[in-house]
Amino acid sequence: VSVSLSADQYRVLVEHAATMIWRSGRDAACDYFNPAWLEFTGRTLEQEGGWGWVEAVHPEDVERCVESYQAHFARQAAYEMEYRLRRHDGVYRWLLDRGAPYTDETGTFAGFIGSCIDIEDRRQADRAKATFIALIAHELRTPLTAVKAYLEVIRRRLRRGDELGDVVQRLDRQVERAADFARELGDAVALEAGRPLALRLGDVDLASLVGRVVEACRRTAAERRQRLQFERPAVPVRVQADAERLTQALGSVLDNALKFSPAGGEVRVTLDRDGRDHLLTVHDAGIGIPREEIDAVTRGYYRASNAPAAHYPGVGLGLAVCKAIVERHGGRLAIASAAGAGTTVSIALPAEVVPA
Amino acid sequence: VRRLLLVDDDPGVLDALALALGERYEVVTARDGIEALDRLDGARIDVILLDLMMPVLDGPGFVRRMRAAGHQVPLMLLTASTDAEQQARELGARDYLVKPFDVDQLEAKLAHLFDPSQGGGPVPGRGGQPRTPPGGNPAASARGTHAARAPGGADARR
Repeated sequence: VSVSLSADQYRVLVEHAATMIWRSGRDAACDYFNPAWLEFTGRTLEQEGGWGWVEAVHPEDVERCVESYQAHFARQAAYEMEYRLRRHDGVYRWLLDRGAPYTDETGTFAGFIGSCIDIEDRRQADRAKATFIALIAHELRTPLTAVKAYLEVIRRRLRRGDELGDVVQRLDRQVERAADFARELGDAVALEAGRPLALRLGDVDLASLVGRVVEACRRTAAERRQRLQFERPAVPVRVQADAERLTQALGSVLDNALKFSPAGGEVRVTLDRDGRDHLLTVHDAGIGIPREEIDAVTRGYYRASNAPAAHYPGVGLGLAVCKAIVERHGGRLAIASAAGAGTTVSIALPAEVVPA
Repeated sequence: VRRLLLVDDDPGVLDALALALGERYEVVTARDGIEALDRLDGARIDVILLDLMMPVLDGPGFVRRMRAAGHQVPLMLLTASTDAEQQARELGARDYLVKPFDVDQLEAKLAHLFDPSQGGGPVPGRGGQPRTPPGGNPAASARGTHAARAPGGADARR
């Protein structure tokens, strides 16, 4: 079946397309830009016409872009290229531009017609993926470095018949660390696939659970000369929960609090009753999270702009996994923070847990 | 005994390497660039083993400050960066290893740095490859000889 469009149908197609479309004549100069193009650049047909459009191409791309266009034009060969074009708001966006030669009624080459789509989002996603993978590699290399060094120490001591001392325990801690990280990645994969985290509910005393997590973090705090405060309630705080998951969630919040606090700083943990909830808060006086980035941080795959990877380890998944764990328990995780003003993470767990 | 300044923000790495290297060397540790600058002022240091990604003052920042303060201690990068070779060149480091590495390999490189007649020296372009066989690379040895003997080696080379 051959379907042909009338000239008017083509006009509608071009003028209402979301795709940016342009046309050039025999001299390679452009004589048409569709409304989508003009809307994008915020310029008029007069401004864009001829070679005017080149003004909005990114200075770093303009030479390559024009050369490639002219070379293909000369050969009357279709092409595909990417370059940055300035949008009406002054922001440069990467475009994919596909151009092809067309002929007039007599079949003679008459110029090029091209269409462009904005691929900035895709490029940003590609970059984010590359960054994320690099962070994962870094995060794995660090404990492995320690593991290899401890193993060498063990090998040498065995060879000499020396006592091993506590090297095996120290080695074990690094292996645990790598295992925790693998679990976090696995959780993130599950969440990404829309699979809920599985909970194994049991009777849990929140007071002693929090106490244990705090104790486990004391070593890290001491290494950084940080004070870690927790006033444990005198009586048990009974809830139905997955102890392992809550330990993981609280551990990652405490980890962050210490990581983003200055050496010598203080981290405060509280556990109180708040109406029908048990309210657990972790407060630090660290670098904080810029207010407008708090949502992104809890969504995951995101590191706050004031926490560059060059200065702080981590891949940006901890809080997202933590939030998912809390919400699976029917609870809520909230963050109060601002850049430079410290961070308070509040975890509200219903006293009567009904898993979400 | 040669004294090493080991700079890394990760307590696990710091502890494990200090323990392993402590058998042959005196190891001074620092967890960021600022601490490392303090240590440099405090005592004679024969080589700095430097991580790049650190809080407060990172590796490159530390190198700039240290040079500005007139310290010319040779540097070796121990990093998880994938562009370690380029970083080493830019920072004027004598050598580098990409984490995770073998302690044997690090010790061979240190031995070569302190006494270039021993093997295990820098192999241009391959310094970060695992299990680089220790062995005489004439070019590297010649360069190492010149650099390791002079306290200002790292700078003198450029």
